[in-house]
Amino acid sequence: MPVDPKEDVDREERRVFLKAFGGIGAALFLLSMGTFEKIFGFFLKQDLTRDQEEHILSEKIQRLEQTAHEKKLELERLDKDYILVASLDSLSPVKGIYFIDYLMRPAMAFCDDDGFPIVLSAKCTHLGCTVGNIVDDKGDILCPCHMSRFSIKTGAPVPGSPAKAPLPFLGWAIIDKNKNILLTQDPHGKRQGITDMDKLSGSSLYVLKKYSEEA
Amino acid sequence: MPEQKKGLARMLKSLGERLPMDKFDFKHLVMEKEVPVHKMSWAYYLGGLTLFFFLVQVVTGIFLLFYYEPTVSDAHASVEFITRYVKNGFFIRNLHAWASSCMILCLMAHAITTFAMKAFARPREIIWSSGALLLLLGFTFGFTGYLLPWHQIAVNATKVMLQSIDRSGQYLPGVLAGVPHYLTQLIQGGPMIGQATLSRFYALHVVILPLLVAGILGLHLLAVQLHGMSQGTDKPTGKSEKFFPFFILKDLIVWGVAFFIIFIIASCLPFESFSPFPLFQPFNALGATPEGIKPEWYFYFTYYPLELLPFWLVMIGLTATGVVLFLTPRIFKNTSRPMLAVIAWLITAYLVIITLFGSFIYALVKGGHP
Repeated sequence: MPVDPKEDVDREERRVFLKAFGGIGAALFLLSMGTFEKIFGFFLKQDLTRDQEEHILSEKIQRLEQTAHEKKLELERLDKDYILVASLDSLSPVKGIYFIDYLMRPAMAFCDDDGFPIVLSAKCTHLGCTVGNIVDDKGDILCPCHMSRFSIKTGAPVPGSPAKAPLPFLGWAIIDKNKNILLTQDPHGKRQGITDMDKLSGSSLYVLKKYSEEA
Repeated sequence: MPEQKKGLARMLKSLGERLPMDKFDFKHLVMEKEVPVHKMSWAYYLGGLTLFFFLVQVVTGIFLLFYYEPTVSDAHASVEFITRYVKNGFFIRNLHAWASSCMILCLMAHAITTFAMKAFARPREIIWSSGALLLLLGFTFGFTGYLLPWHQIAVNATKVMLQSIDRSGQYLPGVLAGVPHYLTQLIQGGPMIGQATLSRFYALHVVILPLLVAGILGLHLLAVQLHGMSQGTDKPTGKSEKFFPFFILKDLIVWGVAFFIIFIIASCLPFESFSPFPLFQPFNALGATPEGIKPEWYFYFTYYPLELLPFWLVMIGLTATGVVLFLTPRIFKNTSRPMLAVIAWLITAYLVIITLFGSFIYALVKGGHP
């Protein structure tokens, strides 16, 4: 008896469908077994050793303390008219000390050849990365994000750098142990007070809120 | 009044043509749906594959929520905990990260092939526009998710991105000049990237964007189902296959193979193995940005031009690309498919070259690394 070609095609289609369905079903079963094993374990209680638990907890505490420190800095910037950067004697002409300015942006402090502070923003004027604090032999610091170089003496970017604007200077004050302001310098470089480095020794460098508000 | 009525009727007719709800029945959506067979038929699988990777992300993302802690003190530690101490946590996190890259890759390929096949032409404008929105949302997913581990590369790359948005204001006229700054402040939520930023990115990444995607994806899929697959070629072969069950089965096979591949990759290859370790240390606000800060690979097409060309030029290029993307059905209404294919090849060539060799090109032009 002749077979209807349409019926033949239908049968063939059914066969292909069932085969594919079976194959996919089996593959999905195997995959889901492997996946299920992974998922199930993910939600189980972690089997930690005492050392691991101690390590996790101590790291957690360390990071909480770091966050608390950052919050204290924020509070200090709201409360106080001047904030400590570092002792004057700890400033270096080749390695800057990072601190957070009144606007909660990174800044850094160096000293010049005479020992007076150089305080400038560490926020790169190109795209906002934090500039490195090591001064090279040309007196420049480098932003490692996009290779902008800045002179610490002028704040200006070295020609060819992606940054076009200079790093702004911050106004500062040198204050002694008795909280007497000995010397100040505004962001434009104008100094007022004692300029004899010997008399300033042992004091500390601060940044002032009034300069930040003016800026 | 009659004029207004006519306008409304025209609008409804136009909407009806683009969303023919009369076809919303089992017969049209399942029984009669056919998929054209021709040399570009492989491209019909890309949309489904994108959806598949999105679903993998949704599932793995929900799993990660069980352990992730969205605070600046705990985010990095919780990610580390998932990776090191949770059983298979490394695998789930890796799967999430690899699936995100695969999703963006498929999304881009889907957009380019759809363009080359002229599948945006009338009456498919809604499919194209919703797809373009999904493409942008895909990038936003990547951008917001990148910050969540709160490591050096994450925070610094976000800083760079936000600063780029802020800087674009100087090229805008009048009151518009202030918009990018407000936008940056809105995203950042404070004077610098901190807890407010992390909370915002987290809310966007796990709630707002998924809801937006669900809505727009629903519209996208509905429109695709109502219109059926686009012809995709100037010279139809006359061959087609039934959407159900054959194409669906093949689609499932492709999904299965994709899952198998990503399963193997996520088991063996840490997503972070392509960058140096210091970039994955916890973010330190009191230190220099480490070398090698880069966005995810799928932002290289805009990252390297930003490094190499004047900022204003890149801004103009990006704005023009956005405008062209959304106006494609109008701009390329009368463009032939072969010409669209040439444009699609050029776009592909640009994306591949800048993504794979951007760093090399930068070294050649500028000397050094970006």
